[in-house]
Amino acid sequence: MKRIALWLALATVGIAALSLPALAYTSIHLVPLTPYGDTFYNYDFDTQSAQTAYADFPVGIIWQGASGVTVSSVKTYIQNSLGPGYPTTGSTKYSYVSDGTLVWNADGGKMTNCYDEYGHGKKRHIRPYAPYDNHFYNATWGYYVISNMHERLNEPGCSGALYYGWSEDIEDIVLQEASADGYPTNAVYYNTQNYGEFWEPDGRHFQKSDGYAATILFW
Amino acid sequence: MRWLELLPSSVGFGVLLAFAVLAAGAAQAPTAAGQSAVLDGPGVWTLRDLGYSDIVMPAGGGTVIPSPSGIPLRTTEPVTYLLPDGAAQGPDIWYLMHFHFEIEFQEDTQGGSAEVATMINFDGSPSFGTSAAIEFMPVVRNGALTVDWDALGLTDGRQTGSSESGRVEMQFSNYLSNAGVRPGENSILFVLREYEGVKVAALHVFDDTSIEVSPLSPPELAVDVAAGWEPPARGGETFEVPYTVRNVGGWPAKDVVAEVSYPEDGLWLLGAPTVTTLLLEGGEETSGNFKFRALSRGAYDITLSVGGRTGGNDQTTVTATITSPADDPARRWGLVALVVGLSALPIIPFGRLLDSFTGRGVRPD
Repeated sequence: MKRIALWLALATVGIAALSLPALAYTSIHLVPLTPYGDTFYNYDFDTQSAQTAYADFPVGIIWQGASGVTVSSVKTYIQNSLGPGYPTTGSTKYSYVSDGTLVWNADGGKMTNCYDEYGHGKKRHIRPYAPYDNHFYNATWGYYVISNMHERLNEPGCSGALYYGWSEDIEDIVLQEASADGYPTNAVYYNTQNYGEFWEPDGRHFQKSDGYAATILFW
Repeated sequence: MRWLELLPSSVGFGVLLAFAVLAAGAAQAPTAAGQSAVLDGPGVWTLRDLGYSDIVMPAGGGTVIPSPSGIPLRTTEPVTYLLPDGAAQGPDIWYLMHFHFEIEFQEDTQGGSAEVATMINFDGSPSFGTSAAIEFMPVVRNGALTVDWDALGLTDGRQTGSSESGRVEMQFSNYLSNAGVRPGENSILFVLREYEGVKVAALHVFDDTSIEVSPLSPPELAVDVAAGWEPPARGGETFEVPYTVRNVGGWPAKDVVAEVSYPEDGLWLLGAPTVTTLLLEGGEETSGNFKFRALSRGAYDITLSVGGRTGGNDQTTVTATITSPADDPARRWGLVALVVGLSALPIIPFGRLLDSFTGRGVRPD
C-alpha cells in the first residue's frame, strides 16, 4: 500500500512538473537561435555587440514567403499599407544574423506618426532585419525576414518617448493589421526563448514577449 | 549526367553504379505537349525533357497576379511535372532547380529594382513553394546602365555580381522549399516583380532550366572537439583543443570557417582565431588544433563554431580548468628575494645598529 502511495505521489509530482508553464524570464534572456541552419539572436541590439547589456527588443515576427520577401519590400509594405501607415524612420539598431556567416544588419525600421490614445501620445515602431538587408533562406521557411516591434509611449507633444516596449501588444496589432490586408498569420510559430514581462532597471523599457515569434505569410 | 559528377568521392563504386543505372532510366525522351513527365528517381529533367521550350516574358507580358502587398507580379504559364507517391523534400530524396535565365532592362530605366522568382504549386493561397528570389538593381554608373544582383540559395550561399550592361544572364541553383515538393502534379511559375518604376524589357527562361532529383542533402556543418581531449591543469602551460569539422550533408559546403572564442583574461590564443576551408565535400571532414597558453586560475569556456557561405552552422563548447596560477617570473624572483632576505635576519647585528643609531656605546674620543 505504501509503495502504491509513493508511486501516486511521484506521478502527481511528475504531472505537476510537466504542466508547469514555460520559464518566464525576469531579465533579458539573450540566445542565438539557429532555425534550419540559419542564425539570428532573439533580441536586436543598441550597438554592434551581441551582449545582454545592449539588448533592445525581442524578435517577434517572421515575414515568411516564397516571393517578394526582402527587408526593402517588407518596409515598403509597412510604410505604405500596414494599418495607419508607418511613414517615418526611427533610430538605427542592429541585429546579428547569418545565412552562412554572421553579419550585423542595421536598420531604423518604420514608425507610425504620433497618435493619441487615452490622453497619451504613442507611436508604433517595427524594425525588419536580414543578412545584407535582403533575406534568409532555408527549405522549411523559404525566404524570410525577421523583425521586432515596440511602442513608444507618453510622448509629450509627440516630441519624445518616456517609455518604450510592450512588444507583444504591438505584435498582436501588427498581426491584425496584416490579416486585414489578406495575409495569413500565425501568432505562435517559433520558440524565441524570450518569454517574460518585466521592467528593465532603467525604469523606461518594459519587455513583454510570449516567447514565440509569429509568422506572416508575405508575398 | 550532372548529378553524377557531384557525388562525393567517398561513395563506393557500387553505389555509383546503382545511381548510374537509375539515372540512365531517368534520361527519358521529351514528354509530349499536354502530358506531365514523371520524375521518379535520381536524375535531371530540363524544361525540354518536360516538353517545353524557351519561355519569354516581354515587357508588360505574362499573367498579372495581384498580391496583398499591392505590388503585382507577372508570371509565365505553368510548367508541370509529376512526382511519385510519398514525394517530399528529404530526408532521402532531394529536389533542386537549376534556373537558367536572362533579364534585360530597358535603357531608360532609372532606379528601382526587380525580382526574378519561382512560385511552385501556387493555387491562389499563400502557402506555395519556391526555389529562387533574385534581386536586380539597375543603376547608372559613369553614364552607363549597370545592373547589380544579389542571390541566395543552399547550394552556393549568397552570390552577388554586377553586369556592365542592362542585361544579365544567370544560372542559379537551389534546393526547392518544402512546400514546393508534393506527390502528384507539381507546377512552376517563373515570376517577375518590378519595384519603384523599374523597366524590364524581357525575362527569358532557357529550356535547359532543370529539376534535379538527388540523394544529396543540403550542406550541413558539424564541429566537434576530438574525444579524449584533456584540459590543462597548470597555469603557464600550453595546451591544444583539437577539433574536427564535418559536412554531414551531401552537397559540397563552401568557404567553411571554423572560429574559436574564449575569455581573453584567462587564456592566450597562440595563432589565428579562424581557419577557412574553401570546399568541404559531402561527408568529408577536416581537422585542426587551436593552441592556447593558460594565464590564470579558473574555469574557461572555449567555444568552437563553424559556418560557411552555404550555411548549416554548428558550435560546441568545452571548458578548460586551470587549477594553479601562471608561473610569473617577476613574482618568482620576488619570492626568492623575500626568502633570502628573511633567512638573513638572524645575522644582522640589530643591537649594534641600534646603538649606532642612538649614539649609545660609541666610544668617546
